[in-house]
Amino acid sequence: MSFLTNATTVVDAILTDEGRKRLAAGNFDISKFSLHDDEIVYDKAQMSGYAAKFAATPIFESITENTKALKYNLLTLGLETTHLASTLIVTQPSQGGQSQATGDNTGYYVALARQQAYDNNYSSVTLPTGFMKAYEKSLISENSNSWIYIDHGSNDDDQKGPYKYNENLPSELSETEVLIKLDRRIGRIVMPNSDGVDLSPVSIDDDYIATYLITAAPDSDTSAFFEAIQQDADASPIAGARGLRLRIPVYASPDINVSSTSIWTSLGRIITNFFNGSDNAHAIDTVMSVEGMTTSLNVTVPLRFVKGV
Amino acid sequence: MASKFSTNIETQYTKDFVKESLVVTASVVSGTYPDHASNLSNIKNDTLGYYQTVYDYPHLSQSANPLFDITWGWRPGGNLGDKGRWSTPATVDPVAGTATDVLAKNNIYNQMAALMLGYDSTGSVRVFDLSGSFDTVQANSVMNSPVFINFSRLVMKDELKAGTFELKIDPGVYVSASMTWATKLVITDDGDDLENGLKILRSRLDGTGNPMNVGILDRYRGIAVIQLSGSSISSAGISDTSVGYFVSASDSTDPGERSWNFEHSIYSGTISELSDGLRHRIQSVSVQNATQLNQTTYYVRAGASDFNYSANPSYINANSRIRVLLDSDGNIIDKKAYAYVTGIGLYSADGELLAVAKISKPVKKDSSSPLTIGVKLTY
Repeated sequence: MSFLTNATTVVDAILTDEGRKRLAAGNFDISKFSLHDDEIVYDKAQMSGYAAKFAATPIFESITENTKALKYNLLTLGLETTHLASTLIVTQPSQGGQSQATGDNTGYYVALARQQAYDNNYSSVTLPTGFMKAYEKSLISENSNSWIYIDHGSNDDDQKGPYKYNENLPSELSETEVLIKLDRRIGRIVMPNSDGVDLSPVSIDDDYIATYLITAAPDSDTSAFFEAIQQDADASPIAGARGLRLRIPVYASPDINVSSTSIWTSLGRIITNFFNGSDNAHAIDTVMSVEGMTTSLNVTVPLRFVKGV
Repeated sequence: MASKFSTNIETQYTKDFVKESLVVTASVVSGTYPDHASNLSNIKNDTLGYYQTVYDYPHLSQSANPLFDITWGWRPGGNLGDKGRWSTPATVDPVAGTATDVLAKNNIYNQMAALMLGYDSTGSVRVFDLSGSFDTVQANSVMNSPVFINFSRLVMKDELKAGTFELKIDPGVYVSASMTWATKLVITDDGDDLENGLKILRSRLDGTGNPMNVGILDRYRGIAVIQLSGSSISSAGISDTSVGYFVSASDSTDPGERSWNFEHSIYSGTISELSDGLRHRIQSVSVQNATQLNQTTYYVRAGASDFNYSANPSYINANSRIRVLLDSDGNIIDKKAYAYVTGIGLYSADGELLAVAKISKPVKKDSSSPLTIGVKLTY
């Protein structure tokens, strides 16, 4: 009788809702895997006794919602590196970005989902910082001041990091394929400078989360979502070498660009004194998840869609 | 090229069985709850009278689960052993199967025989026979008036495990809740194996002595077919004629009181009445079921150089430095990068997450060794 090897751990898996759907449809086929570390907070690595602290991390049970079951991937890189790419939203107009809103809307991009909200409140004044005319997709498509910009790269101080701002980011750390996830009932993505051509999602799951894939390849239909960044020190919030900048125009879904309030009531809430400190607004808060297909590019963009009550 | 996925998967398929033992006692079958006339009963007659269902709780309760059905059959053209037909009836077949179908017992017999035994080469339905030979009517062993105990899917699951069926019944008079049990017949499936998962059921008085064939068990359909009486098994069954009150207690307070013996009951009783008669003789029914589990184990292999970094935002600090390579002051020191694994995702070719597994304790992954994890999916 031989000894049992402990080299292989065997764990039980559960089907996600998408897995169950495909099993029922007869097209369940596993072809690749990924490893994840959702529960791990790597700050522990700089603490004494970090190995024991990592090992003692409590792990959550699996959940079946396919968009939420796993969050952070482990990466395979073809180089040994001390740095990975950071991801930052570009919020400085001087760097070619768009400011986020301030005050009670701090941290959000505020999207006016109905033209009436603009006409009644901002037609004769300057639109507040971080607000977008999201009710008209052709307008959003052509107005680069209303796009959301995301940079990634090595963010180490000036000359300390291995990848300087005036150098190219190694291809292993530079992202050229990006997944964007957004609730299709709330927001849609339009092609930059296209006069309002919608970006088609590659899939829409059972929770209405649309997944969009954009790639930077020159022959790709979606290469317009990427642009190179000047190799100047102040051209980006990323201090060191940068990958391609992402620019994403988002507009209000036709589902919420309606006079009816039912979807606004079921998905959102009313914020009092929202417009000019006096008028109430219907508001739906959501996020747009942006995730690199091969690198550590990963950011969540908070969005607040509003219309008058 | 950097990557978050790997296709290095090896797949292994296995099959396993999970077994479960169940014992249903007399307190459930006839003792604890009122009889089926009451809404609080755990016994429910089919609305058309073709069978009677035993539940574990009052059948109107949301907690109630069906355990088994009882029904009775009569072989068309059969007779009542060597005693002749009851009171020399004008018709060949018994009467009063249900309120609306006097041939209900005939129909049940044919339905069960067709399902379990099939048809012979002449197109005639085969017959239940204690010998295990179903193609011809053998006077000494044919089952003319069997009772059928049909276990629910909840009880039998995928199949009944061979050698685990046991039915204990009192062959004496109708047993009321206040009475004590007398001698018992112990019926088990320790007889010969027959075609298609059928087994011979055998009975022993008080569980000892020479066994005698009394029925057939279909393990895959969860049906026990038992000939409770008949001259050929009189020593291992219920007496045809000497035990009265088969379908009711000898109790004048029982509105359904009938002094019928087994033979008379088989002839004149409804399926519901006959089922009452059996239930009030059952001391216990026990089975062991089996559920087939199909498992696919995906062995995912991460090579030594794979998955040693993480896209977890906490993996780097604000300066993009990999934290696991830093000392407590944030300076880069000479270490190998590593990451921890707490979850595994299995994906379709188009990138949809189809299955997910979590590891109870984080597993360290670095370039010093590969990592293989078996991810088991059970259907």
